[in-house]
Amino acid sequence: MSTNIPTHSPEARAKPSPPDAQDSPLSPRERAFRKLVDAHYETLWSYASFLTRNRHATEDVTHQAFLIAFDRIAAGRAPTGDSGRWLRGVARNLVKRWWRERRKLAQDVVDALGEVLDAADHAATQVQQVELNHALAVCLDKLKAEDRRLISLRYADGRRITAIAEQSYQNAATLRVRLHRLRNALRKCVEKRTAGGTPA
Amino acid sequence: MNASWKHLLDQCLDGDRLTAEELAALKEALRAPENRQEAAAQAHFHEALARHVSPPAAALPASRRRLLAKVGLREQRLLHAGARASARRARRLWTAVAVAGATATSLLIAIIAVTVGGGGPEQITLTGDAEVFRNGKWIGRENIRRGDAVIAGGDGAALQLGGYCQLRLEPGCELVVAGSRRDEHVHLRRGSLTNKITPGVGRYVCGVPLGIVRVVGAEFTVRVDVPPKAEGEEAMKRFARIVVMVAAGTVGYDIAGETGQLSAGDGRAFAAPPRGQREESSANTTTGVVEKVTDLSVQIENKNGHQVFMADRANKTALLDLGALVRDDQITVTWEEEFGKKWIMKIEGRGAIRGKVTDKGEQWIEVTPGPNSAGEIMPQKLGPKWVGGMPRDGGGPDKEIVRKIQETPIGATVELTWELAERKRVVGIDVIEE
Repeated sequence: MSTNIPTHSPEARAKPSPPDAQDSPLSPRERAFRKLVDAHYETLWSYASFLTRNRHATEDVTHQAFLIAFDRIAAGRAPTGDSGRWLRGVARNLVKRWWRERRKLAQDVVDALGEVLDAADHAATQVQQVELNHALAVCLDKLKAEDRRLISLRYADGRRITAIAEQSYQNAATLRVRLHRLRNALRKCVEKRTAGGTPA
Repeated sequence: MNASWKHLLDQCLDGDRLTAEELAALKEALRAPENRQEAAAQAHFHEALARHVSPPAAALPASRRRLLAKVGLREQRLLHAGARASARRARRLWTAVAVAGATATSLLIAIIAVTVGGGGPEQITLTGDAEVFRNGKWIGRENIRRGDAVIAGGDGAALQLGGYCQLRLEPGCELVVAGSRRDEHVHLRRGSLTNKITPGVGRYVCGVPLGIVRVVGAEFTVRVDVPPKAEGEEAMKRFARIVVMVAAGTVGYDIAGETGQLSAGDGRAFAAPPRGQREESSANTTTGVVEKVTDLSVQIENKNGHQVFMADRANKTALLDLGALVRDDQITVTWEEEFGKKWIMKIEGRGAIRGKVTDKGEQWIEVTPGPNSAGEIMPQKLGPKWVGGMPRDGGGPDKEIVRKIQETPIGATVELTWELAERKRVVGIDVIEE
């Protein structure tokens, strides 16, 4: 029995929805803001979701990051350069505060993780991202059905490890190790493919 | 050891809680530049995998609309501030021409600012035909304060909040005063409410059963109709109806999953099941042991601590479920958050009671178990489970359980297995000692 994992790479996703029907004519700063939202809302949501693993916090962080962007546009200091990367930076700072306040992580741990994430954000160009997604699709397809199911439960369904363990009558620690190994194996497979330049 | 910090990083990025020792080990490992580089690659891959496999969130379009509505209101505020700034500039120009007049104008503005902005005590004034209730008890009309419920009589009433919110309550209108100074909130439960808000002084939010209407400066009317239950009609089919009409200014709404703005002259109607009966897509669940239960709430305890869940009066199933619960029952509550409270959507429960049969009827049995964790002895009355659908389709109380109830003598020691379905339903009876 095979379990298919639906893939949702950014390039495969739908284009932004048209402006809402009830919209009145927009001011120039609102137009600039909408452009930013159309281009980055989904990716920023996904990034915030990855960092917080909490739906409410995801929306809070995403909205706050965009509202900061709006305030900058309104003040005539719109973000220049790669606005997506700028927004991710703002979201990271907001998430760091959330980690301190809600996850009760110590400042030095938050700083260390923050540095890792800063570096991770600069780890790939857009072309490399596309290659990575392509390789991921191939490597995921090669997994055993039960491993695919675990990945699907963790990411497609967004379940926590403890919930998956409870449901499948397994030990959460064992499942964590299995997921860790699975991700390592996937990463090796992806690195092999992207380094070899032979995407499927 | 080299590999273990990577595992810890994975756990941390998964949102798992690490111990202080694990966090210290991770932090120590991340000091080394080569480890940091590897950690960045790992985090990057982790994020790419999450993004690749996670579906676009179902909540995304609604969330995006909410953001645009927030920005719309911010834009309105900016326009408003811009207009005021222009007015101030014009006044300054005029000041240069006539100093004496300007001094008088400034003085006037200062007086208005002090009068309207207010530095004095909280202002909540209720006039007209209305009664005020605090914690369900009538307290007359004097000394109204936040948290009190107001019900307008046949002639209607007027409520003034913070000096900038003038509310007109039509006859039968029922609301709760909440919020704080310059951040006024009311929760409109039913009836018609006309709101006139002076711009630029403070925030105002009118909560309705399906969401909120947020205002910068406007005059608008909100009407909430919760139709009474018709005979034979199922509670689930009753929909609350909400109408928002704007007379002046702009209001933002977030009602029944829809978000947007309404301008002067606009009106909009919304309908959705009342709180506690909506779609469960945005719901949360909590499992725990019942500590305290009232007609409208239940407090449960689990490893995360104590949590209180409220039941809306319109959610009849939840009210019946609450009526059946006792201390130490193990339940799962599906809930949603609104107005800072957790509202019950449904309660599921299953368990067993061991005790003596102290009374019984044709289709019910009363069992008195031993003392609970608070040392109380609470007899519990249970009926059989309903099976087979509607009576016209042959549905009815579980015949097997009815037979067992009839066979079990009063005084016997039994173990009953139950499920929660509006009340506790027996799904199994084991006679331990006759």
